[in-house]
Amino acid sequence: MSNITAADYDHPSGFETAVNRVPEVTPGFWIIKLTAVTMGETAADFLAVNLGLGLGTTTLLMTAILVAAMFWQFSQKRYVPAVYWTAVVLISVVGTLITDNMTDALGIPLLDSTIGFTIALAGTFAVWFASERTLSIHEVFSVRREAFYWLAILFTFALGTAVGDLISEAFGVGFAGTGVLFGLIIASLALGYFALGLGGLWAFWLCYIFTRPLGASFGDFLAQPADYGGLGFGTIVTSVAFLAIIALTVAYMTLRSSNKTK
Amino acid sequence: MHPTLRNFLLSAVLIAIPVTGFVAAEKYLLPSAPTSTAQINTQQGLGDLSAYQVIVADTQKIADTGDLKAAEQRITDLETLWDQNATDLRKADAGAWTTVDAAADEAFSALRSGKPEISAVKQALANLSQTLQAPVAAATAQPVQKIAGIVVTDETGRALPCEVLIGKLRDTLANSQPSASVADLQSRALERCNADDDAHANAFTAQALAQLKG
Repeated sequence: MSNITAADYDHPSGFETAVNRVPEVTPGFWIIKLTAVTMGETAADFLAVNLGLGLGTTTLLMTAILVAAMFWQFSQKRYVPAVYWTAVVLISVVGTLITDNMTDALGIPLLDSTIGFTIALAGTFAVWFASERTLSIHEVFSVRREAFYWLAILFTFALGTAVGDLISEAFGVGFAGTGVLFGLIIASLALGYFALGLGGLWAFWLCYIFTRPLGASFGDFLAQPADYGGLGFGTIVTSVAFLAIIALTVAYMTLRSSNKTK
Repeated sequence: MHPTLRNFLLSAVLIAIPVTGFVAAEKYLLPSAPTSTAQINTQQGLGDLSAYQVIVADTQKIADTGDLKAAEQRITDLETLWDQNATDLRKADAGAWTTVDAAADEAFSALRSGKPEISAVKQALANLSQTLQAPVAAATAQPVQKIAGIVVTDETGRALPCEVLIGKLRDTLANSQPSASVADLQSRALERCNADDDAHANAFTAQALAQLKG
């Protein structure tokens, strides 16, 4: 895997008019990513459990919606916040469902799925680099690069779910403890990026993996009743609040990007 | 050093440091902190059970003197108190409540049988005392666990996926209007299941199924 260099940030000469199809990584990016994770999880739970569709039907349904959203995203050929983040929420749901299916329906131990998804993710990056000679998320100009990007994202969500569940099973500290642990890991990676010269790509993808369990723990913390160590806002209030945060941030991003192009 | 190798090693160290710190804090800095899930649940589970333990210890002392009639009177205090708090306790931890309740019932019936058997009484009281000390551990001791007669784990003691039992409950309810208490148990089970808390979800579903069976 490549280290990010100054050259990665400069557009190579042949691509001057090319438009990046995915967003730059800003604080707003991480806010929506974190909230999207929780929204995705609650939506999946709601369909599978409350509506009684079951894990299998929910997975099929959500995968079909995800495929549609992916067509929509690919057809934009540029970064449109509302479309991009719809795709992220859906991929978050499907990534989570893949892990849940493997654990609950197929009985695959979490450690095995963690190792399996790590290999799958590393493999995606290897093929991506072999094919494109770059892993830059600042130069997603072609359909092929975008396909690699989304495949990597799907695996980070599946891996993040497996790691999060594995940790909370191994330590038995509940969602608050798990949240603290993943918060510390992300803080440590951020310190590494800003102070110790950790490559931008490494920092980005590792944080992308670990914000999955962090977001899920945080959502549980807000939603769960006080008896179980949460704040007791309930899943509906939490989901609506998170949806509002996503919508506001996406609206702000849309406004800002349309101002920029004027 | 090759940049990829450097990044790999740096990431590994950056992840290892907080993980190590977290594990160390769990282990050494918080000695009173639970070291196993069973203990966490004991504390969060049914809360302080010392009042019950005192009564059981009294009953054991009285039973040792051979006066089983007096012992039966003393354990009735436990029954009264236990029934008084049943709603709250069951709410706190349905699985643990069911386990203690079963152990207590055995002690009552041992003392109340036509001709109480001193050895059976002592055995039942010792079992109840042990269960009160670690209700959740007792609830999770057997490999395949049942709550209210409903199997809630697989052969390895792992909780069944909560969706399975909820599906069963839904099928059972398909043609009937659930009573208020069954509906309440069902919504609690759904809420726990959404939180990926299979054990508690299954306890609520099992109680609902048991009520439906009457």
